[in-house]
Formats: sequence, C-alpha cells, structure tokens
Amino acid sequence: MAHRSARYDYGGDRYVFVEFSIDMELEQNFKTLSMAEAIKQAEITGIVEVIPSICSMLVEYDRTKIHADSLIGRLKEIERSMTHLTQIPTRIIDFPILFADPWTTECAEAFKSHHNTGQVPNIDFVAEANGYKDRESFIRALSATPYWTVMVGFTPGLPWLYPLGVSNEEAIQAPKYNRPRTWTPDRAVGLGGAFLAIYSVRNPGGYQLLGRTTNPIYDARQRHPDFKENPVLLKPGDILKWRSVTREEYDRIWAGVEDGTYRFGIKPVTVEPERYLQDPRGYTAALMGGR
Amino acid sequence: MLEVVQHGIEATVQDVYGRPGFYSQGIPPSGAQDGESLALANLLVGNDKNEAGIEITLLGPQIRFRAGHTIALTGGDLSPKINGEPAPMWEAFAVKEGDLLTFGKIVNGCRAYLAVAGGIDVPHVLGSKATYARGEIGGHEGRPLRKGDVLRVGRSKAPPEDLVGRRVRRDRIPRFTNRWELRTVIGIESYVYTDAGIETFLTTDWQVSSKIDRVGYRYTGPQLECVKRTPPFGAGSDPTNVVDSGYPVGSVHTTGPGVEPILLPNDAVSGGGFATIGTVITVDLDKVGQSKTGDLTRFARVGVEEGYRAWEERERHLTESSIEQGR
Repeated sequence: MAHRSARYDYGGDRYVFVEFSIDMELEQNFKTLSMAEAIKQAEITGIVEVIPSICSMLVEYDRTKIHADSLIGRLKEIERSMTHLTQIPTRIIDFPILFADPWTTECAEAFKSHHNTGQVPNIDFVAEANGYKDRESFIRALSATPYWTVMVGFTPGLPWLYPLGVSNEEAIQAPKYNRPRTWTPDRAVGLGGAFLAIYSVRNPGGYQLLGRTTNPIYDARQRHPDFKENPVLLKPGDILKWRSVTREEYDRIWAGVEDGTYRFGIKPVTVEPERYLQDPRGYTAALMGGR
Repeated sequence: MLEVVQHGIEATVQDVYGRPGFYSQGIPPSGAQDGESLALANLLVGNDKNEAGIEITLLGPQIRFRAGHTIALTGGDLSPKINGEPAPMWEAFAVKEGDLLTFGKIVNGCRAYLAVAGGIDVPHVLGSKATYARGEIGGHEGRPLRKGDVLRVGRSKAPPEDLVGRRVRRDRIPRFTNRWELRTVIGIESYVYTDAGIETFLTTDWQVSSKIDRVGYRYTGPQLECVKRTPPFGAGSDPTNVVDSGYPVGSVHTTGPGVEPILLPNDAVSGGGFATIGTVITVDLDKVGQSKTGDLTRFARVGVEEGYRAWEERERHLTESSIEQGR
C-alpha cells in the first residue's frame, strides 16, 4: 500500500478531520473506509460517530471525554498500524432504473434555461458528450458498469457513486448544470463530474438527470420491510448494479415497493481492495460475475 | 394540549441536543438553533433541560391552550402576548384553558422558545424529538407546525402551580444584539484561501442575508481571495471546489470563487464539494440562531480550547443555578 500520511485538522470544537488525499482516488476511498472501520473497532472512549466521506473523514467526539489532540494521537496510531487494506464486507444491490423517465424529463424541461445546452432529456446530452452514438449504446455501457458507494450524505441516505473497473479517463463524465435546479424528483439518478448520485428527497440539485430508480434509498417512516432496521438503505462500499427496465416493469416494481411485497435484490459480497487495485477490470468482472 | 390556530413563518418542535450519531447517513442532529434559550425555558417549568419545546421563528404562530398549563417563553423577544396582553419572558407563568398566545413586533433576536411543564409529547425518532423537516422526521409529523395541529403535553414533573414565578437570574439571560461575534476555528480546507483571503474573512463585518434557515445561513460581503489552483480530478471547475468531504455542523464554506460564506447550522447538509474555511464553536451556534437578516457578523479566530471552555461554562449555567424564585 502506498504510504502517504494523512493530514489531521480540527473541525471546530467537536470534530477531528482526517484527509488521505485531495484527489479522487478509489485507493484512498478504500483506505478511508478501512480506517473508519478500524476506528470503530478500537472503541475509543469519547467518539460519538465516525463520518467517512470520499477521501477524508470527520470524527465527532465528546469534548467532555477526550481532547482533540489525544484523539488525533490515537487516530495516528491506528493509521500507522494499518499496513494493508482490509477486506470490505459489502453488498451488490440491484437497481432497476427507467432511463429518460417522464418525471426527470419533466424536471429537465422545467429547468431548460439552467442547462448547459438545453438538451432534454439530459441523457442525450451526456451520451453525446461522452462520444456514444445514441442513447441505447450509452445505456448499455452504463448498465455494464457497477458503481461503488464512496460516500453517503448531503441529504439523508444520498449515495455518491463512482464507477468500478474503469480508469479516470474512461469514466462517464458530465458538467453540472450552469445554475442548479430548485427541485429534483426523489429517486432521480444524476451525473455530476464522474459521480452518480441518487436524490433521496425532493431537493435542489445540479446533476445531469439520467433516469429514475424504483429503489427508495431513504424511508423516513420506515414502512418498507428493507428499511425496518434503518431509514437509510445504502452504506459506503455498497455496489450498485443498474438494470434498465421498461415503463411497464418500472410500474410493476414500484407497486411492489409501495405495498412492501417487492424486496430489493441484495447479495452479500466481500471486496478485496488490494486485488482490485492490481487488476481493476479483471477483478470487477470476477466480482460481478459472482464466483 | 395546544392547538395551532395560525402558523407563522416556521415553528417546529425541537429539543436541545438533537439527534447525534446519524450524520454519517446524512441525517443531521437538528435540535434548537438557540439551545441555551430552550434549555432555560425547560428548567423554568421543571422539565429535563433537553425536553422538547417549540421553536418560533420571526413571525410567530397563534397557539390556543386547550387546558391549563405552566409555560415559559425565552429566546428572542417577539412581543409575546396572552389574550392580547404582554406576556412575561424568562419566567414561568400559568395559562388557563382557552388562553391564546400570539406574537407581534420583533424587538430582538430571531427565535423565541416555548416550553410547557411536561414537555411537548411527540415520539422519539432515532432517539430525539427534534424536527428535521428536510428529512421529514421527528417533531410533529416530521414537519413545521400548521394551522389545525394539536400537540399533546406530557406529565409535569412538579405540581404546575409550584413552578409559577420561577425566573432566570438576570445575569444568566443571554444578550441579543444586531452585531454578533462568532468564535471560529480556522481549518479543514482553509488552504484553498490565501492568507489575505482568510484575513478578509476575519476582519469583515458580514451582513446576514435574507437566505437564512435551519439548513444554511448565507452572508454577504467582499470576495475572499483564493489560491490559484487547478481543482483536483473529480472536484469540479471552481477554485473553491474540493473532492466532496464532510461538512461539520457549524462549518463555513464559500460557493463560487470565495463569495457569500454559508454557515451550516443544526440541519446541516453533511457533506459537499466546497472548501470549508473554518468551523464556529458549538456554543456560538446559539448566537447564529438569534441573528437575522441585516445583522452584522464577525468571525473571530480561536483555538479548540476556547470552544471547550465555553461549552463547559454553558453546561454549568444550564442548571438550577440559573433559576431563582420570583415574588
């Protein structure tokens, strides 16, 4: 594992900030998640919550139990003891998506003047900008690319997703809107830079709108059985597998989600970051192929 | 029981310490924007200091009491009245069935707090009664109060009549002004700003804009100078863009190249791609909650110890030691 020490800083009087990298690198995200897990297991008195983000994390602490400097000392010990990236127990989750759906298309139409070129639906703009000859070939490429949850947050349960098995240059990318929209439908799937995100609640936003998934990622009332334990579906490290569906399939699945009879397709899997880094493409294919 | 006869701009059920422990899932702590004032109101009426009360913003609601209660009003002076007559603040008093609480002119501050002996009886969601409206959880049905809402009240710990006349010691009543100083720990992604940019941040009287709510407080003033840099891969094209990282509650970042600092209060978004310049100490978020459009705000550089000291002092004051028997 490449050794580069993290940078530590104070986040006011109740957080410590730990930064592994200022660049987007999956290796640093793996390291962030490994260290977040190691901190939880160390059960340090005074830690309120470990809050990992893409290549950095916040550690919230109780100032009446531990001083930031002692906490930083403990965190540095943990960092030093991490000689390799640990396995990440996680899940592959099936995400049915209706591309160029009527709801995000209506939204894109309403905010046409905020868009870079005014192309509606946005998926055609993104396909063209990434050199795909048509919408269908773009959808095939996206559906073949699993996405890794690098971070959860902004609004409840919102995942930030990064493609697995492709280089930075190969990643599908798009600029954000010139001016953000004041609303976006929930369950909208958007692309900003190289990141996909799923809007968890109706919220402002500036990502290019690709489609809408049937999987809620946040259920405030915890009605659906898959939300019984927690109002949030996704955790950092979860792998999303997009499945393009027709309007009929979308409606049928959504009806099942609403009455609680449709259960999400979730498969437990263990990811070995070091093997991924040696051969991103081959390892991803093997992982998704379900050895 | 309390009945909301008219809703104001925004009134929500809040407790003092909110819902810690779920920020890694994007769920912020929430809780009163001026926790000190709500805690004092609770103490006046014999509640646990973290009990739920009502946070009333600027233009107050009208609330009818459907039974006799002992109540207390604290926080900003929004000219509270009972049946049209001025009501006391920072003091526990009795209301009768049918009494109507209204608010009027904003004398000072931005948010008033209403505590009722027994507390507002709403369910705990993820360990707290606080409302987080954007996430539609907590408080009364996960949203601000609306006309027609009826709120139940819990059982008072002390005989309500024994509480009447208790008041906050004069020297323990927070002072509300139009010029605020927020003690701030500089850091996290402050490297994105030049020394001159940070100096501008610390020496400007920032004007509180009209864009202020529980999710963000936006300030207007000069542009902060940023370091000339190419944003890292994946971050975006603006010099203040960073690869998305966590936003502490109380943190300040700018959008666009160094313009309009945004402070994130208790309903903060948990992360994003703009460079954080620093984080206001927890205790001073009470002041943010009482600042309003047109007020002036200074960010003053401090170390973490100052935050610890201020917290210890606030917690020491949020006890029976701040309460005296009146009359």
